Amino acid sequence: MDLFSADEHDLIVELMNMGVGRAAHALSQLVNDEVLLSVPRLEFISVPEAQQAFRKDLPPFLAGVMQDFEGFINGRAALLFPEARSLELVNAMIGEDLSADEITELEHETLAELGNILLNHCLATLANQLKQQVQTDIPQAFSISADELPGTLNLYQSDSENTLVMLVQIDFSLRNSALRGYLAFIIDLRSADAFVTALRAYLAELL
Amino acid sequence: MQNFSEQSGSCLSNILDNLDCTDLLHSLDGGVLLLDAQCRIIFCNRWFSRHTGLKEASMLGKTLPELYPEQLPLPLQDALETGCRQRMGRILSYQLHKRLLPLQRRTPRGELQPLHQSILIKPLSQSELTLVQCLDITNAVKREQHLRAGERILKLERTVLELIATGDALDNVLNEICNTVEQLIPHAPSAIMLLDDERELLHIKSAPSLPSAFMQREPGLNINTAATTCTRAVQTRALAITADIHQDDSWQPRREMAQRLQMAACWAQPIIAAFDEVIGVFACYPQTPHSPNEFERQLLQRMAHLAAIAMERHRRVERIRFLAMHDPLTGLPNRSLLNEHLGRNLRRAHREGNQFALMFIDLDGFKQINDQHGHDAGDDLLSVLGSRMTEQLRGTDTCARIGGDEFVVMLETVHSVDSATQVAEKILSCLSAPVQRGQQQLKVSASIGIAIYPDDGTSADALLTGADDAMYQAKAKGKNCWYRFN
Amino acid sequence: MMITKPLSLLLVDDSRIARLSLKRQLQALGLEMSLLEADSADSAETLLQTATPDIALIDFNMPGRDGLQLAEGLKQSHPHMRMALVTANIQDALAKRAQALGMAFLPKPTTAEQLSAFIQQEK
Repeated sequence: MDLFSADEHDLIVELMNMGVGRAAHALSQLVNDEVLLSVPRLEFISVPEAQQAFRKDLPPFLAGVMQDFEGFINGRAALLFPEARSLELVNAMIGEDLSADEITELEHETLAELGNILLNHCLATLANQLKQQVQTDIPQAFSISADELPGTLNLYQSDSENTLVMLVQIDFSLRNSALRGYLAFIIDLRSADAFVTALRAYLAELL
Repeated sequence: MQNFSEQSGSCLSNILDNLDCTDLLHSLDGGVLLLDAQCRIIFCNRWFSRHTGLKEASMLGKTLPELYPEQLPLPLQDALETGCRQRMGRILSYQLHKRLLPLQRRTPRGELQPLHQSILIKPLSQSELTLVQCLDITNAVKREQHLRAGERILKLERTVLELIATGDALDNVLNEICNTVEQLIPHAPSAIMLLDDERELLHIKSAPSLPSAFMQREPGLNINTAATTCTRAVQTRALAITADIHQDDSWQPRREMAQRLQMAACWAQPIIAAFDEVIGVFACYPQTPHSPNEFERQLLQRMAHLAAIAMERHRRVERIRFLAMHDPLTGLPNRSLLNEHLGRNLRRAHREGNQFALMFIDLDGFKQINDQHGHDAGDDLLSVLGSRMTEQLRGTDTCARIGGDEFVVMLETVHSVDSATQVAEKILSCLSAPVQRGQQQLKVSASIGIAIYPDDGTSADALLTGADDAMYQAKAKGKNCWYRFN
Repeated sequence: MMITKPLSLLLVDDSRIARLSLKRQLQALGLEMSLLEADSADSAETLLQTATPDIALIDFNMPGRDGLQLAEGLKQSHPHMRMALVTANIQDALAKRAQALGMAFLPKPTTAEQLSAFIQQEK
């Protein structure tokens, strides 16, 4: 999708990088340990491409956290993990070395907070740096099969012509646990104009 | 169908329009606060007043940090700020924030206890307000703790079983069992005590977290005369509990020690082996007076069972080792064990500059006993003479049977040749005293060859050959005498 | 009389936008300086074979080798070059590792004050 120029793309990556870096800082203070997050890999794709990518790249069972946002851009953001690994991450965060068979109520909440911190920092950095406003809803954790993902992310319901998916791949390492997760931002394109305008305004000041 | 849902839809909105929202929020089983953009409370439901003990009126217009100055954790304050001012939805989970709001709840028994909670902060669309929801997750925490504890026991059980399976030393295994329990029941040192062979005294076998003074506190608890929690566990073959040592008269003689070691309670679980035999006690000494809960009871039971498995395996291994190293007829060490002892003693004597003695003993006239009275009589005779010889020796000396009527005695240390020959004299006389077997009187004598380390040899071979040669000299000299190798 | 040579700076960041915004902030300081740019650890090392800047501002999170790995090598090869790690990842653990390499630690987005304080500090 050529909606964004190379510079605009670069700017979004840099802003994501900043958001992720701050999230890492916030998380490290929570767990009293260093949290390493990789350089995010960013991709803009259409809804059908997203469905294909999910089917291809993601494991059959997923755990994740999603959060709706509205403001200068509207949509739904999600953090996705392979289900089994998400438990490892939660255990690493709370300093447990046990491998439970199933994710419990409390672990769902912990995962929700982890996603909450990451998604909030990404969205807030994006908005603040672009001098815009965004509001987020409370996060919801879920465990689903990959087939259910498009439904959960609202990909069917929304007008797919007018929906853009920003997919961000990111590697976590925490204590002895290292895993790959995805951030997916399902953006309502009707609000993308504001997004592009904000990006251009930022770049105009630089260039 | 569509008609119906349209109808019911409009019906529902009618009902909702007429509902008092405030009433609804007050009836919720969970805390609800509405905050304005400056984080000030503009609504608080009844649940909240009930669990804070504060009147609604006293909370309105205040922020939470104002209500609880310097009591709120930073992440909560930060989340409230980002929620109200920056409109970011937040969740604060219990596992990452064990302390959030200082709320309390009443147990069914009426006691106040801290309320485990998670908090949701939701900026409301189309308004400046932020909804703060406080969820009581005490029950979920309990379920989780249960689950975790169960997993942890399983995992530790596996570790201990692996130690047992790989033949780790018994002490290590028992220490590991104590460590396991101490991890799961913090602030409660534990100990494993075993009954001695006479089944009278309980000896402490393992207590990794208790000072060594406790290990050596006394010769052992007499299970027939001392009435303590541990002896009660042996007698009743069931968990014995002293919830408060200072309220329990049976602890009177040991109260001072308990105080010194900060023992406030004692829980004793009998260790029961095969054939329902009580072989010891697993004891746990919490530092605050209380009784074990269901989980702790289960843990004690399972760990005592593990201790029983470890003990039985150890006994079996010991038994096999004993059989491999002893002569089945007399119960005396065999040639292998003699070689082991001899090797060890050589190294020691070399290191410490000691003298020691080796005696080769061969019975005179044993073949005739066999021929005249049969092999059973010969066997009985050997058995009696074996124990007679052992009686002449110190515990540290060795008397081994290395062949039909051949024995080797090793005196662990001797100060002079004389002291060795004195023992030889005693052995000669004890062996030549007749043995009564029913109507029969069996009588033999012995020839003894003596070799002294280091004068007569400094290796096992040299000493054994020397003593053997000397024994033949004694035979040649007319039997029933000893001869020193030269 | 002292002759002031223009300051020479190297910016290492995989993001062109990040380098641009850093450049803009540096220029706003009104100092005479020459700027070199590299978009990865590898290209920075290639540049440094011929140039010897006074100061290097290095991003931490880059594809390939990260900023600390780069700095480790540069500490040996360019012991007189002052270095700062510029990163949005402001964890203490990272700051400590940067300090251990003798680097300054500048949180992203950088402020003009922090940049000028680092650049103009006494050598």
